[in-house]
Amino acid sequence: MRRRVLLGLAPLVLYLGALTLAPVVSTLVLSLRHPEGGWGLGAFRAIAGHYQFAEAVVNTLAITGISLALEFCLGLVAALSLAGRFRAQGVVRVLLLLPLGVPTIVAAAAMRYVFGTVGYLNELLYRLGLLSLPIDWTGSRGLALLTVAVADAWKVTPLVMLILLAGLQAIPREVYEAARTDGAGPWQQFVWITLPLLRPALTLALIVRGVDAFRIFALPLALVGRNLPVLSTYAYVEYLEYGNPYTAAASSTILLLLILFTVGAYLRLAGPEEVLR
Amino acid sequence: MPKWTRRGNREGAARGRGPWRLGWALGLLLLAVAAQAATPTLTLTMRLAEAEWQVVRQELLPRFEARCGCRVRAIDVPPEVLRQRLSAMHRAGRMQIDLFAQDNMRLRELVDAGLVSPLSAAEAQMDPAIYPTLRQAGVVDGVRYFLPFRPNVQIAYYNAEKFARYGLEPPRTWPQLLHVARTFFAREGVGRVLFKGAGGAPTTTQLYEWIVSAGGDPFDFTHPGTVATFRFLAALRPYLSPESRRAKWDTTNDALAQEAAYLAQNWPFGIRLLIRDYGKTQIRTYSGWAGPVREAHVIGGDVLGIPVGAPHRELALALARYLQSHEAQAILVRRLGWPSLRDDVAAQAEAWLRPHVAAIEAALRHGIFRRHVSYWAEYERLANEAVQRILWREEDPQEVLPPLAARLEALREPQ
Repeated sequence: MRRRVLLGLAPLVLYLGALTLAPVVSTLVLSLRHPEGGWGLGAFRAIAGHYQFAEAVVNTLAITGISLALEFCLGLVAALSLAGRFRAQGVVRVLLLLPLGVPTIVAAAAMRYVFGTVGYLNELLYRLGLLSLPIDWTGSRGLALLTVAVADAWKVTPLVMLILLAGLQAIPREVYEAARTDGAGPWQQFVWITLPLLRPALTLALIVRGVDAFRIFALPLALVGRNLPVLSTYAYVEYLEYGNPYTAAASSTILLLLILFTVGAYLRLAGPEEVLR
Repeated sequence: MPKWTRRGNREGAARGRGPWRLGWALGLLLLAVAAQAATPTLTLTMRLAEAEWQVVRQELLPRFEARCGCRVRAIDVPPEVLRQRLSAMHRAGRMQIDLFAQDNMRLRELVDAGLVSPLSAAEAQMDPAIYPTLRQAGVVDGVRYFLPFRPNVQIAYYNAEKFARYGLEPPRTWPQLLHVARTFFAREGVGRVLFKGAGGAPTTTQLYEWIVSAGGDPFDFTHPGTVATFRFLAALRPYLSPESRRAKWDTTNDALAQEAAYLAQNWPFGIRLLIRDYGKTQIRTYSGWAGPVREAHVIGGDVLGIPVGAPHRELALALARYLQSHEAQAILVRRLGWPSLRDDVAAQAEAWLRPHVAAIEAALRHGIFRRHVSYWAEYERLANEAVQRILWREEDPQEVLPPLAARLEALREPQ
């Protein structure tokens, strides 16, 4: 029996080992190697001294923070709206899920048409009489961060919505009925029942989306280019354009550590039982 | 069905013939495979757009295949990946590429890694119709490793309607360029002159030719001509199109097509796209502007090389000769509007394309080749940093350039 279980697990272990663990370990090893041979922190020192690296770290954190805030607000509102029953619910659900099916690079190309200086957004604002000159949506760093976060939120809010919707539907109706009997209003029900019982779904969504948001790549590259570096695009440019696998690996390692640290910190705050539920 | 009925007999016979038919089919298949295996197959790598591959695979290569009795397997390999591919095959002792087309700025790394085969004097013989300026492409440290194939040169694209509306002429000098940029900004409230400032090779290439046209040394950030270039860029910055931050080779076409920019330099591949495909007939081309010292345009494009250990070296050389020939170049000019390495195929261009071919030829007359240095990637990093800090972070060139010059100096090869 035990042997059968082990045999059954073998493909999964092989898959994870070969396609997840091995590349991670090899990246870690590469980040600690010197191009001339030997070991050391030379690659980390090189990127720490680069004028764009600190900016890449801050940009990664900022985009992650802004886009997660947007996605959770919008995702929760959408999930709460869809949790009830109304006409054309199926159509609305499909429409809301559509962006999830759009490949990221296609979404990035589409967003360029929206946020370009001669893009749809400027045109709309101009026609509404709100603009006389086009806004360069990626012209300043702050605006560029916001633009990328909004574009990311458009693409992945449906995923957050789906996870939260599943969490909402798992909350027993009886709890709400009992609360109503005790005189609780809609806001009190939301604060004291929905939010606490939604915590496992929120945790799951936060981890899934948080990890993904840290790795954001195509959107900043397509929308702003290298003038808004994030850790993944920094690694990409180091590897592909400057042919330096060591600094690219060091940058990727820092991204991995950042993800592990953030997820660990959140779990420590929220309690590990959130994952085990 | 019983065997003794007529139908049963027929079916029985058919069943009996079944294995024979299968045998014949298998035999024919084996013969076809054997014939295929007996035909030498050359592997050619290039980096092309899908529309370009269509012409190369359907029109260009079949003529050579019919002549040499061989097959050409043409595959897409990006220039930044070619070295890794060749290196892996070389280490494994199984070179599978016979001929490659490679960006002329990525040659040194192949030579230094010992991945490309030098060509003898006889092999390096060139058709007299090939432009003399282009013949020097492919010589590294005095040894010819590569043959010219596809020259490329940046020309200037301008929106003739917008220029006419504001009574402007396409600029021929830096002061005129600044005047045009200022006029557009003053009249429209937003910059319409584009500089490819997104970073990477597009930025380095444009910067390189601007520095040379100012009489500077692109590899010396303290050279007066180089400093003058950065100062000019800083003066131009407020009047540049906002799209300059994202402008690379492909996005430059978008900016011109969407009229987010009215003047920009780019490779000629935009001609067909903008004028033919997008119908932007108001877009015209000319060779561009001169700097304070001269007019200079970087010659880019691809050259052909034969890897060390190529399985079909003779056929690869024959294919290279064919790709340089009048016949092949005429197809590329006629069907793709590529600039040609030969001076005898310009007439092959379609009528609408001819003014643009003239612009390309004019730019080629001021063509320069970038220096082959082993530290090109690092140089590009420093040049990009200079542009980013001076243009987009608005830092003072006097503060940015000296430390970068020191880092560049440290990279220089011992002379």
